[in-house]
Amino acid sequence: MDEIICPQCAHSNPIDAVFCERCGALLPPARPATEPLPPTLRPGEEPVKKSTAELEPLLPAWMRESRQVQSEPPPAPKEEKPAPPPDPLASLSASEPEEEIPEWLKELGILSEKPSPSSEELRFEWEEKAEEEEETLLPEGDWLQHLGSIPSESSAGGGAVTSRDVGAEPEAPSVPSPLASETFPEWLQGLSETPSPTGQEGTPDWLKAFDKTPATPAAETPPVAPTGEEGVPDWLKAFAEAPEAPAAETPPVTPTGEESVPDWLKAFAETPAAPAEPTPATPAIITPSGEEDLGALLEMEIPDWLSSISAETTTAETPAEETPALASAELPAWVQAMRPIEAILTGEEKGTEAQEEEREGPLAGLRGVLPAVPTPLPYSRPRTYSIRLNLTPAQQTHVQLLEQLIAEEEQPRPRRAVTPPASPRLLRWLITVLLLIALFVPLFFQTRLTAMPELVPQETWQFIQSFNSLPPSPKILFVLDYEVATSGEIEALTLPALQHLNSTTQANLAFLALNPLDVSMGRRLLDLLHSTQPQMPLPPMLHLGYLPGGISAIPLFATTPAAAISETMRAEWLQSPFQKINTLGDFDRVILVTDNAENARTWIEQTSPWHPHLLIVSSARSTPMLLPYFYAGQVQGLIGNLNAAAAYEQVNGIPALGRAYRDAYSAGLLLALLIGLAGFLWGLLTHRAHSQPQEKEA
Amino acid sequence: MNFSIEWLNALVGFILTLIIFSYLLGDNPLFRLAIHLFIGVSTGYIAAVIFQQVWLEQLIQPLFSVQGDPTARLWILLPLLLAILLLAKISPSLSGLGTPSIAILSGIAAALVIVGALQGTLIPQVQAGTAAFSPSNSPEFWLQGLIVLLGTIGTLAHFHFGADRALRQRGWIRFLGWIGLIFLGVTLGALFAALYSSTLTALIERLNALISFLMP
Repeated sequence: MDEIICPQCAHSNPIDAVFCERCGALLPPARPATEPLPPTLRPGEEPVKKSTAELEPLLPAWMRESRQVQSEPPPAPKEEKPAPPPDPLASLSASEPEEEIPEWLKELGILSEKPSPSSEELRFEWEEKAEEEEETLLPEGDWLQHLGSIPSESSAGGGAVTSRDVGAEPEAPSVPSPLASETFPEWLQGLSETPSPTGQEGTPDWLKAFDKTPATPAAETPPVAPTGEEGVPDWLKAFAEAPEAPAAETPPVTPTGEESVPDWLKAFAETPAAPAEPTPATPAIITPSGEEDLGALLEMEIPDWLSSISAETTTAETPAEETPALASAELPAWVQAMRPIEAILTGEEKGTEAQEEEREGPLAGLRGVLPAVPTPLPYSRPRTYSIRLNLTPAQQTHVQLLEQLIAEEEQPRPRRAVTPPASPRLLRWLITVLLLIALFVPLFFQTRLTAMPELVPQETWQFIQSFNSLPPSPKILFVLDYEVATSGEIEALTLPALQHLNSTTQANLAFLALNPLDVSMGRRLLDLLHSTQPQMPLPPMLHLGYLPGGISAIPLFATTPAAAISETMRAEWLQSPFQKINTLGDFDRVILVTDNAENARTWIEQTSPWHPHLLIVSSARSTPMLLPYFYAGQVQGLIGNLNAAAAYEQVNGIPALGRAYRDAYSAGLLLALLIGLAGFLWGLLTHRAHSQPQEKEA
Repeated sequence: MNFSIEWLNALVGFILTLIIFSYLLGDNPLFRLAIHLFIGVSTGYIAAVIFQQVWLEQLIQPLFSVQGDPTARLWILLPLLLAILLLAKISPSLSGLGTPSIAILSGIAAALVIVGALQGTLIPQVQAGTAAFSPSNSPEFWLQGLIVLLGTIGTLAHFHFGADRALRQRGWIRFLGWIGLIFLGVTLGALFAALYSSTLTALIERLNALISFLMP
């Protein structure tokens, strides 16, 4: 949890808060659970001996390179030995003094010779406030203490090191230090040769105080077993020999006079009064880690000159941190502490501040519990496209023309005034009256105004000649196929032929109906014949009845007429003069009486293989369709209209319906001709009347 | 006045004729009555004729006749079976049973029409059309033959729906089509005149019947 619960009011405070936001009470130190504790040496555990040479490869490149610049590169026997798992704690205690000295410290050779003020301050803090947790929680700065204590220890015990190294060294320094006195850098050699840099002209006063401070930690460090000369590396011996003289002379820190202490150091001297409070068994500065503990101290009391130095050092360390071989956790604590404040306040603190605090619900007051809304991606305004079309002048012209056409189509056009025609009803009544008068008057008065036709149509003449050439007692078949509605016309056309037969020969007539309604038409024809020639006996006739089957029955009848008729008719057939008729061709004449051109054509087509002597009495409406068969020789004669019937009557010399209807028929044709001519003229006039306004408009 | 059957027939005919003429005044119930009467009487008459002359005389009597040939009776059963199956067309579920009857009728009719048209119309008409140009014929026949040929070709050129557009746009094709159009006009005029003539004759017969009824 990145928060500190106030022990007074139980208020949740940010992790970096020192005082409670609600009650203002001093908050206890807290350590985030996610931050692992630095490796510490706990009571009851024996320190592990570590060789600093084994950790040589772990050094950052810039450190090794910087050391090589100032001194001869040391031999690297450590590469031949198997490297044990690195121990950050051991590395800090063993190799920090030499391996992690940055450039700026090297340049400040005097400063490196003595413990830094900050380390001294830390030393002061830990010793004053939390002596029991000093060794475990604050490893940083130990090396600084070593720098000061080694001479005193060595002087007292013969080569003793810091409190941590004490535990590591007593066993046996199995790995001798590869550093020989010849390989020391010049500044280190200078240190060893110079027993006391203090009191020099170039040394500031505050640095002179450092020469005396090592005596203080030396007195408090627990005694350790003396290390033999064989177990101490050469480079460490140099450290032990150099400060030996001043160590004995160095008084404790406390007796240091006020005059020699700078102002910033006085502030450190005053701070020990704070730990007198009973609260802390823990460090006063609450940070997630021990490293940032020091950072907090530096943030509060770091001098100006050190701040500038630390900033420079941080910039110099930046590339080293970016190298993948060096993880950020391996940096020395004092180096990390010298990073700029902005660099320190990364990660936890910034993240904690940036995290949203839940204000509602069961998670109220907690930070970072729920995932924060991700930072919106870089937003770039989408490209906008203009909806306006870039039209060329030609296209604009076409658009205008199209709009003009559409506008003209939508505008109502003035309707041209059309003179309404005469009332159809009146015209119809006029025509009806004229027609009725033209037909009724001749019929009513039985006029004979029109002469009989002198010219007989060719097909009718052939019909007459066909009858004239009949043998005695001819067997003639009448095939009736007409509607009742046209019976008046058909009877008028057929009657001259019946009169001719009845007057010239004793023909045997047979009537076959192709339409069920024509079954009785044969008898009606004979009745009509008898009405026109009452003095003459009727010819013998046989009614064959209705021939079912339509087109399929025609070939059957043409092949075997007796088989196509009914049983009753067949009995009469066998007793009649037609009993010797086997096929259709055996009839002397076959007269097809029809008003339907299609049925007549079918009859002609289906009976053509038997080559009957076929004559046709056709309605005027069907005659134009049947004339080609006459001209082709498939039909021997044809009576096609009332004029032909009148001509036949004229030839026979027996007036009949043709003569009675002729005046009315002629009047009707004449009237139709006149009406048609009048309509034609009316059409011409109206067309001209309509065309003139159009020409004027054009 | 002698009220005989003929006179009653003439009277009914006279009244129905006047009712039919009433259509000149427009559609009226009397006209519809006359039309329905005509259709009903015609249908009844046709049914009676078919039942008597077809079912009774050509199916039932031969089937149960003692004098007939037994073998011929079996042949009568075949059209009877087909007729019964044709009745199955009434029911949608059994309509498939009437398909053989329809197939037989359609197949026979199609065969007869095709063969009849070929040997009864097409071939004879082509022979007649070419016979006009016989060297032995007089110029009159030749002229008639040329007119018929021109009319035939012109009519075919006018109905050139199947020809491609390029062919239809050619000048001589359009000229022949124009000639064919003239022949078509003359033909349709002749047909109309013939129809008018036929109708006029029927009207004259009806008027004459009315006059005969009024003035026997």
